[in-house]
Amino acid sequence: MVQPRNLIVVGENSQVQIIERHQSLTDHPVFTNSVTEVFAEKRAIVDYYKIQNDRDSASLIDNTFVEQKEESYCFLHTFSFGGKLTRNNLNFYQKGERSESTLKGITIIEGKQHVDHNTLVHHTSPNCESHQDYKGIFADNSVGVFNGRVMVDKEAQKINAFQSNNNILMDDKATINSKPQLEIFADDVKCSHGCTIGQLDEESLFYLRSRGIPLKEARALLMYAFANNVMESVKIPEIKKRITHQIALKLGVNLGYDL
Amino acid sequence: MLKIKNLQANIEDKEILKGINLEINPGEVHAIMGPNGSGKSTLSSVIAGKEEYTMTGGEIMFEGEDLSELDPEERAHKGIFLSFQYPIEIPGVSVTNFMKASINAHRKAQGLEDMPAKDMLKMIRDKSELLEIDRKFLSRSLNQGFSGGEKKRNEIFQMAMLNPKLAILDETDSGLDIDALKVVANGVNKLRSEDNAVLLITHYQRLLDYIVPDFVHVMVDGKIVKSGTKELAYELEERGYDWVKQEKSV
Ligand SMILES: Nc1ncnc2c1ncn2[C@@H]1O[C@H](COP(=O)(O)OP(=O)(O)OP(=O)(O)O)[C@@H](O)[C@H]1O
Ligand SMILES: [Mg+2]
Repeated sequence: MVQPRNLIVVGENSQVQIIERHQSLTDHPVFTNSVTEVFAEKRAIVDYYKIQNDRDSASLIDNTFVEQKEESYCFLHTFSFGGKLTRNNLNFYQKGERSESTLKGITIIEGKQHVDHNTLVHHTSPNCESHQDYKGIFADNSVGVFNGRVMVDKEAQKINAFQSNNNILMDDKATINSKPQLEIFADDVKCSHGCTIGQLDEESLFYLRSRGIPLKEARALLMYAFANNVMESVKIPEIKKRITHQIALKLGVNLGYDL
Repeated sequence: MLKIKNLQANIEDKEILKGINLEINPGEVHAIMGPNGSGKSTLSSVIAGKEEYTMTGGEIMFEGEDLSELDPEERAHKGIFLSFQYPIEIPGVSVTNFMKASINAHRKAQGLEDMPAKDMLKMIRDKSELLEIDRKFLSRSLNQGFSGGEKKRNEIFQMAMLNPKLAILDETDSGLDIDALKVVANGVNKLRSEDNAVLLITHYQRLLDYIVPDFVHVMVDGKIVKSGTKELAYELEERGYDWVKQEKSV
């Protein structure tokens, strides 16, 4: 059992990029209970990537707390591809005007893997924004949970809070539980949430196959495309490449090109 | 090249194709006309291998080989191309990447390496110029937000890239303005040769002024009820389908 604790203070006007990854070196069962606190001061920019691709014997509970002051920007991407059980408890507290939070994730799991995303964005000040975009692809008996909570305090007027969670179930036995929760006490806000659960579109598959792209690649291409808009906001090219590569591995194809 | 004998096909137990006979030889252009819902798109989808349809009888041979057991991608590798009546929007996949995947899949099926990036770009440039497609389109998501005419033009661009032996153009002319129709027809004509063939599905004689067919067939209620030369298309334009239907029932 490992219990890492990270404290990250990002001072006024400063900027940081963080990549976090937990990797066990053997197949012994490992349980990681990780706590991370991030304090983003005025106008700070935080660009955080969590890559969760551990062995099947490893479980991870990740608790991350982000507090944001005026005009700070925080982006957090979570890529969940591996591990036995992964639970993300991600809490954003906006405590200053004109701050922005972006929470995005791609989950691709199979077998008996389980990935949870419990997110909270708490808007306490006016004129702020939050964007959440989580995509999941679930094969075999895997289970995904998306529990997205947005709280808007009475004082927090003129808030834009968007949340979307789209999922593809590859097999009948795969499960996704998606539960948006909006608790809004201010009256002048724009909040939206959308959730979709579906299979790959047969018409699209036929279109690709009619152009000679074999079924397996056609599926992979559509899944790539599905996850693509999450990748668009990844700002580190190496990470983008690496994740793209991991997705290709996950889907069992070599696409030989980037999207 | 393509020999269809007594082809019958169902969708969800509904009989749609009720015994189609059609033979297309290399170098020929065939046109199929016929009322809405008569089964023209169904025929093209069955030739291209859409799995929703069940073949309940007859046979489809392509260059002496039975197509019925082949996947859509295998048929494509053999040189069959379908320009869709309603091209599908694929968000997140650019036209260029789609074409790369498609071309390289064809090459792989022939045991060839991926096409070098430089050659690929040149070919994309040449073919998009042939069809007067703005370069900006090529980086956009496939068909997403394209106008009706732009989608059709994009289909023919794909055809030009793949250079198929048999191109089935399902109402490629619908939605094209007059100038675009000329560009697209010109594109199709440029690709014609003694070795390949075209099957046009259309409601309008106009297209056939530009791409002149050797044969015109009329499909009604899942059957080809009349075949003739291009003059038949004029007659249909003038007189509609009723007389063909009546002739058939007599
Ligand atoms: N998925 C489906 N489920 C049920 N019926 C279908 C399906 N696809 C096609 N059909 C039916 O099959 C018949 C033939 O359709 P098809 O699209 O082949 O006609 P078409 O000749 O191409 O018509 P149009 O000129 O309007 O394009 C129609 O009656 C249509 O409603
Ligand atoms: Mg049709």
